Amino acid sequence: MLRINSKEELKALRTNITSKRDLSKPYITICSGTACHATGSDAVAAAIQAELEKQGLTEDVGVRRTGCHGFCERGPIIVIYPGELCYLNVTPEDVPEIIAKTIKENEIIERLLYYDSSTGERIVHEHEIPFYKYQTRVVFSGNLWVDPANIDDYIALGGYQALAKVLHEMTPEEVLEEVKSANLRGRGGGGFPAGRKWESTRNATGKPKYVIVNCDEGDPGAYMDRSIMEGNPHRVLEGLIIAAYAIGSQQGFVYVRQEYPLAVKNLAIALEQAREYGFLGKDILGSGFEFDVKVHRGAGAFVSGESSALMNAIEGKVGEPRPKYTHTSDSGIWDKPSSLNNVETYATVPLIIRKGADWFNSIGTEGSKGTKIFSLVGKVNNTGLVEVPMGTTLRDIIYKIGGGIRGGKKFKAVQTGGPSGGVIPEQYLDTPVDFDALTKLGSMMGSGGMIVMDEDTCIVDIARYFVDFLCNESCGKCVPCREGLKRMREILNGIVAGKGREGDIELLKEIADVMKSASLCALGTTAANPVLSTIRYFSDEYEAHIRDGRCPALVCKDLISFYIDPDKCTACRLCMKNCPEGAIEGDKRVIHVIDQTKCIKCGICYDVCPSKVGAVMKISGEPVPPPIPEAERGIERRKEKGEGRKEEKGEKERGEGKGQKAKGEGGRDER
Amino acid sequence: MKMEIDGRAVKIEEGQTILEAARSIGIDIPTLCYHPALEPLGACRLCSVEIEKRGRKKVVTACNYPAEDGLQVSTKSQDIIGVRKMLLELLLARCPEEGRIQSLAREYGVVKPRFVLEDERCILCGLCTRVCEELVGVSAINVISRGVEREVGTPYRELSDDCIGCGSCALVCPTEAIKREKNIYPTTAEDIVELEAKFLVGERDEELGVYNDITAGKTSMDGQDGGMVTALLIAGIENNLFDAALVVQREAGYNAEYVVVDDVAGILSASGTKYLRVPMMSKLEAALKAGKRRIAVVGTPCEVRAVRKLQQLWDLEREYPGVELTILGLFCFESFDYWGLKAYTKRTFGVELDKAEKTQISKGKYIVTADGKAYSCDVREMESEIREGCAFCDDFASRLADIAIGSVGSPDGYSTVIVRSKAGKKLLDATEFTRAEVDKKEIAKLVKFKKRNADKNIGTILEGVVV
Repeated sequence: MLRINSKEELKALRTNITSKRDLSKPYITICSGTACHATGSDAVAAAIQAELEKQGLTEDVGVRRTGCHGFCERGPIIVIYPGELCYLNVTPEDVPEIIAKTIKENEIIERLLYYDSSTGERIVHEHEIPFYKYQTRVVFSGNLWVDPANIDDYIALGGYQALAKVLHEMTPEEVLEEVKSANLRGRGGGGFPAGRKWESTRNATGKPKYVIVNCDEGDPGAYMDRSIMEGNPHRVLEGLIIAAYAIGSQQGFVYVRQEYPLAVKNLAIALEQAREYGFLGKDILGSGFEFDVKVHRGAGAFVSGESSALMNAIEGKVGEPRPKYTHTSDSGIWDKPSSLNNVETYATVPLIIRKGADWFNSIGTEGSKGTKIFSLVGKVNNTGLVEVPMGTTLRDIIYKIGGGIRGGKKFKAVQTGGPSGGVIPEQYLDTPVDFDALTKLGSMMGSGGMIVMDEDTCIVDIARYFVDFLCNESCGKCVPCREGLKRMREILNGIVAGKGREGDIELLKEIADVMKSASLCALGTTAANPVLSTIRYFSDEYEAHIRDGRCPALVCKDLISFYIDPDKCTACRLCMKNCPEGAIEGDKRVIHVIDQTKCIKCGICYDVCPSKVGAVMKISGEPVPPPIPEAERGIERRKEKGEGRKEEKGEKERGEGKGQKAKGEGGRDER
Repeated sequence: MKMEIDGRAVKIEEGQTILEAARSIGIDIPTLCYHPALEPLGACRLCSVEIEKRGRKKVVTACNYPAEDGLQVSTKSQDIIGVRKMLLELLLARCPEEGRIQSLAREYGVVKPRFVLEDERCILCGLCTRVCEELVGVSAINVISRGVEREVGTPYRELSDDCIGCGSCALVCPTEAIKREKNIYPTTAEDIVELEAKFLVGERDEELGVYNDITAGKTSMDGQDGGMVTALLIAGIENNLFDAALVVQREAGYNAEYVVVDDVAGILSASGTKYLRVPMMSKLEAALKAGKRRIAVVGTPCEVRAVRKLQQLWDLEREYPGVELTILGLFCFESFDYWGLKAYTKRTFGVELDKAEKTQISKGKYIVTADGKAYSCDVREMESEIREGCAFCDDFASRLADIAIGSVGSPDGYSTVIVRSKAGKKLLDATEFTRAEVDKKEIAKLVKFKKRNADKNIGTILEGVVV
C-alpha cells in the first residue's frame, strides 16, 4: 500500500478506487456479522464462490463479505447489486439457483424475498423491508457495503475524509467546538456530552493524554458496538483519531472484549491497514500529527466496562472501579488525563465533522441529538439492530420496525438499558426514546439494549434475572452493591418460590435506596433499577406472588401446576410418552391424569398437547382440581354422554403449532 | 480554607479528606475499611456523609472525598443514619458473630437483621490485602473472584510461597477472618507463645528465644562458616532422623530453588548460603503429597514461621499420617530478590552474580567471591535491593525452629547453633563437630536491632487500627 501524505492524495486514492469499480456489474454482498455467521453465512459464501467458479463467472461477478446488516432474525442475508435485491435466510442449497436465475437471468427468486404478512406481498429491495424502511441508518450505514477487512471499501465511501478535514482545515479547538455544538452525548450509558469530556481532558494539566474506546459491551442481549467494531472498524478508528487530535493525545487504547473474536480480528486488520496508509503513526496525512493505538483485550468481566475499572484493567490491574472522586479526564490511565467513549460515540464523530453540527442537531430531540442504535431482541418478530433518530417512540421501534409481538401475543413491557435500566410498560409505549425520557421513566438509555417482553413473561422473574446477573458481575468491592444485591436476590428468590412475605416489597425498596445513594460506582448506584422499575409498574404482580401465591404470567415453577382437563383429553398418550418423570397416568381410551407428586413442572406435556386439543392446562394461585375418579376415565363412556371426544386425533396433530390456550392466560415460556 | 461539618466550622488543609477534617475536631465518623497509612478503598461505605455543593446534596464517602473550601458536610443526617443502618444490617447478616460489627450495629439500633443469617467472618474491608501490598510489599493475598463470590485469598487458593508470616494482616483485620485463612501464615505474638509452648523445650530468653543448648560449631564440611547445616542434615539422614531434606540448591546461575534431597550427595549439592527468598511452601506440600513424611526443612525465620503455622492450622497428621517435620532455621536479617541482587552485584563490582563462587553477609558486609577474588561492600548500601517484607519481620534467630544456625556470635570458621526443641537436640547429638564459645550478646544485639526495626514499621500499622 502507498502511504497517503496529504488530503489531495487521499482524494486521489478514493477516485482511483472508485474508478476501478464498475457499479453496473453484478455484485453480491453477504452479511458476515456474528449472527449470520452463526446461521451459516460462511457456508453460503463458500457456495457462492464455488458456484461462480463453476460457472466461470468469477471475473464478472463481485463478491463482498460485509459487516452485520442488522436484520439478524433472517440471516444469512445476501444483497445483490445493482438493484439491491435482498434475499433472506439463504442456504448453500439456494446458491446455484441464485446464480443461475438472478445473476445470469436477472430473475427474482420470490421465495427468498421478505414476505410482509400484513400486506401479503414480497419485498424486493432491502431498504423497503419494513425493518429497514423505518430506520434512519447513519452510523450503521457503512455496514451494508463495507468489507471490514478492506480499508479501500471505507475510503470509497468517503472514509478518512473527516480526518483529513480536521487535520488540515481545523484547529483542535475548532474540532472541540464542532463536537460540542453537535451536542453529541456519549452512547455508552450515561449520556455525558462527549465534547465536554474531550475539552476537560484537553484542558487537564497532566501529560501524556490518552483516548480510549470502550468496546466492553456486556449488557445481556446488546450487540450494537460489536457489530460496528466487526463491520466497520475504520469508522470507529477515524472518530478516535479525530478525538485524539482534538484532545492532544498521541496514544489511544481500544478495550475490546476477548469474547468478540471477530471484532478483535477485524480491528487488528483495520489498525494494520490504517498504519500502512499513514492514518496512524507519525505525521498523519502529512499534518505532523502523531497518534497510534494499542488494543487491550478484556478478560470477560462486565464491570470492566465501567470507565475507571476499564482503565485499571488497561494498567494491568484488576478491573475494578476506582474509589476516587476525581474525573478520569484529570486522572485516568496511569493517573494521566484520559478520555473514554464507547464505540458508537466514536463512530458518530466522522459524520459530524463531514456533515456538520447543524446536520446532527437537525436529527433527534431537544436533549438528545442524532440517531441511536438499539439491539431489539426478545419477543418481537424482527429482532436485530435498529438505528433510529432520537425521539422515535418505543411503539414505532417495536411495532413498525420490530413487526410487533411474536405469535400474536400481548406486549407486556420493554426492558431498556441492560442491568442498569428498567422496564417500561405499555402505557408509555408512545414515549419518544431519548436519554432524558427513559431516565424519567425509571429506566435508562444505557448502551441501547431493548428487550421486548410479552404477556408470558413474569416480571418478578425478570427482576430476579437481572439481580442474579449483577450478583455475579458486580466487582463485589462495596457493601451496598455486593450485600444489597445478594439480599435482593434472596428476597426475589423467595417471592418466585412462593415464600414471599408481607414487607418484602418495602424491604427491596429500602435496600435499593441505600444501593442508589451509597454504592461506589455507577454499576452499584443503578443496580437496583430493574427491581425498582418493576415494582413501580408491576407491583400488582409482585403482590399476586406474595399474597396469593400466584404467578400471573404462569412462569414461576413453584407457583404453577399442570393439570389435564378431563373434558378435553383425547387420551392420545402424547403427553404420557413425553413426560420425563412418568408422572402421567392413563392409557388408550383412558383419560390422562398428572400425578402432582411426581410432576417436576417441566411443561413438556403442555408443549406437546396438540393445540386443537389443548387439554393440558397451566394454572397458578388456585388448587389443582382433584383427579377424575378412575372409574370415570374411560373415554367410551364419555362419548356416550355425547361429549364428542375424538380419540387418536391427537397423534395426527403432533408437531402442529399451538395457538391460544384456553383460559386466556396460558402459553409457553420461551425463555 | 474552611468548611462546615455538622454546623461546626473547621479549618482544612490542602489534600485533607472530609474524614481527617472531621476527626481533627473530634467528630466521629464510623469506618471499617479505612486506615490512615493505606490508600482509601471506599468499600465499606460506612463513612458515608452528605455534602452540599452549589445547592445540590450528595452522599459521598468521607475517607476519600477531598475537603474543599466552603463545603457543607452532614455526618448525622437522617438519610446518612439510614444508610449506615442498612449497611450494618447487611454486614451483621453476613457476619453475625463478629464483635466489631455487633457493637456498631447495636450503636445504630440494628438488633436482628431481616435477612437469612450467614456464617461469614470476613467483611471484605480489604485492610489485610492492602497492608500486605502497600506497606509490607509482599502481596501474598488479594481479593479473588467477584460479585457475591468475592473473597480474600492467595493466588489459585494455594498455599502461599510469598507470605512471610509477619502478621500485619492479622493486626489490621477487624474480625477473626484472616486468622482462619489456611494458606497464609500470619503469626501474632499470641501465636508465638502458643507455638513455643507446643513445639519447643528449654529456657525462654527475651532475645535468644527458647533454647536448651547454644554453641559454636565447626565441622569438616565445606559449607557456610562452620558447615553446621550441611553436617546436621547428613547426620540426620545417616541416623535415620528424617528421610529427606528440603534445601535450597543453586540453579545454573546464582538463582536457586528448593529441592528435596534424600542422600549425602544431594545435601552436599545444596551447601552454602543463598541470600534469596525462593518458593518453599509449595515444594513442601508437593513433597508431602509425593509421599515424603519425615522431612527436614531448612529455611529463614519467615519460612520457619510458615511451617509452624502450617502445623498449627492444618491437621497435617490427618492429611499426611506419620508426618514429622524437623525445622532447621537460619539466622536472617534480610533477603534479596535474585534480579535485584544480580543487578546490584554487576553494578557495584562488575561481577556476574551467576558466576560467583560464594556469597556471604558477615559483620555488616556483603562479600562476593568470584574468580578467586573477594569483593565487598556495606550491606546498608544495598537497602533498595532488600525484599520489602523483611522490614516487617521481627525474627532474626529463627525463634520457632527446632534448631537455629547462623554465623553471628561465633568465631570465624564456626557456625552458631541454638537448639530449641527435643528434635533439635537429638539432631545435634547425632552430629560430629567441634564446640566453641558463643558470644550471646552479639546475637542479642542483632535480635534487638531487627525487632526494633520491625516494631517501628508495625507501629505505623497499629497506629491506624481502630480498636
